[in-house]
Amino acid sequence: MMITKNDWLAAAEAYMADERERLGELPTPEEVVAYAHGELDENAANRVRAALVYEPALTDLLLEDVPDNVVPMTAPPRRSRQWIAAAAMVVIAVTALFFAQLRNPDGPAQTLTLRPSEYRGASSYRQTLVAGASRYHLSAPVFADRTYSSYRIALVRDGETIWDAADLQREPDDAVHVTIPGRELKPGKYTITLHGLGDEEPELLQTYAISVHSPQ
Amino acid sequence: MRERLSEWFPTYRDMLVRYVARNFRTLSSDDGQDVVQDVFLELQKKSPPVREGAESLYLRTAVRRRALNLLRARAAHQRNVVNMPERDDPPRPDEELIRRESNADAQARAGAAIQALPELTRQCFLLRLHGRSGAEIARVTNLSEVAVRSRLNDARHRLRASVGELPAGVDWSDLAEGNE
Repeated sequence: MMITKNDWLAAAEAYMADERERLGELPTPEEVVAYAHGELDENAANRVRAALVYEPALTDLLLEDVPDNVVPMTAPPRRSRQWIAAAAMVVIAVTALFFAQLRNPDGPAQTLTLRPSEYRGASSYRQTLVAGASRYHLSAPVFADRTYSSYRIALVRDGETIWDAADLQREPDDAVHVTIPGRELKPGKYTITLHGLGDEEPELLQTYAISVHSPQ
Repeated sequence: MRERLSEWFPTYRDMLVRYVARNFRTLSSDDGQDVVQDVFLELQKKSPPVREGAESLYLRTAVRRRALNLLRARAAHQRNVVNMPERDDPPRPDEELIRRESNADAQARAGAAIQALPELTRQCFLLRLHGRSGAEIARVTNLSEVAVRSRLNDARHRLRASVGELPAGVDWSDLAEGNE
């Protein structure tokens, strides 16, 4: 008699149930974090791996922070004339950027980890930045159990999107990072939106409220 | 840690409650609130060192773990209640049981074949059986995608040799035919 898919699934479930029983206690958050960073010894890693495989409610834990379009790292190309030309272009670009920075009166970059608008129980929690930076490095923690192929961060003022960046990826620290040019953030109030992008309609994942103040 | 906790609680509380609701549909919204509350209480009590930037994975693991433990405790309780002996409980013909019995042989063969696989090969196969892609299996098992494909090829080869057929309904399309 042929073994159907349901037979395989039933046999798998029976096996996995036995394994869950044998494994006993679920791995701790510390163990899972260490496993994700490849820091466990072989025995401990085997135990966490088994728990992730045999306990379906845990399997998605490590999949939630992986972009769909993970590209395997490739070996660096061999040096060639094109490579040397590209390196020369980079040197020229960096030099140009250096002189552009010298001419740019803007202050240094600012960094901010975004907190949702409902942060600290407030209905409209607003973070502040000081105007005049050359650029703003923003980090938006992503807390969605779904994985999107990419993310979009938009800067909205008075209901109008004045700047956005798409094709952003969720990084291993579980956040989407973006750099907004300093000229885009003049003093005023802004909303920043984070959307998940995929095959369907963009999904609004989070909104952040920002105030940009003039430097004292 | 305590300072970070006081930041995490308002930041993550509501998101974690929604996360529990999405992933554990048999738990009520009150259960979800309790699970998240318990996780934070435990964190406050133990103040474990949590790597900077890993708090999301840490918290998601903690709430899933607690939710699962809650479900397991309830299931155990339920089993105890169900297993209480009843008087005058005559056996009755059960078509479903007969149907299941008729597949028992097929399931036993599948089970034996699964059990005979090497551990990592078995884990890769079980994830594939449940529809996971190569990239997903690689992420869960901490193997490279190449290693996963190799394990899946091994599983395919061994299972066919063991039961005389490839497991039905499993997608092997990402594996090179020549490697079979």
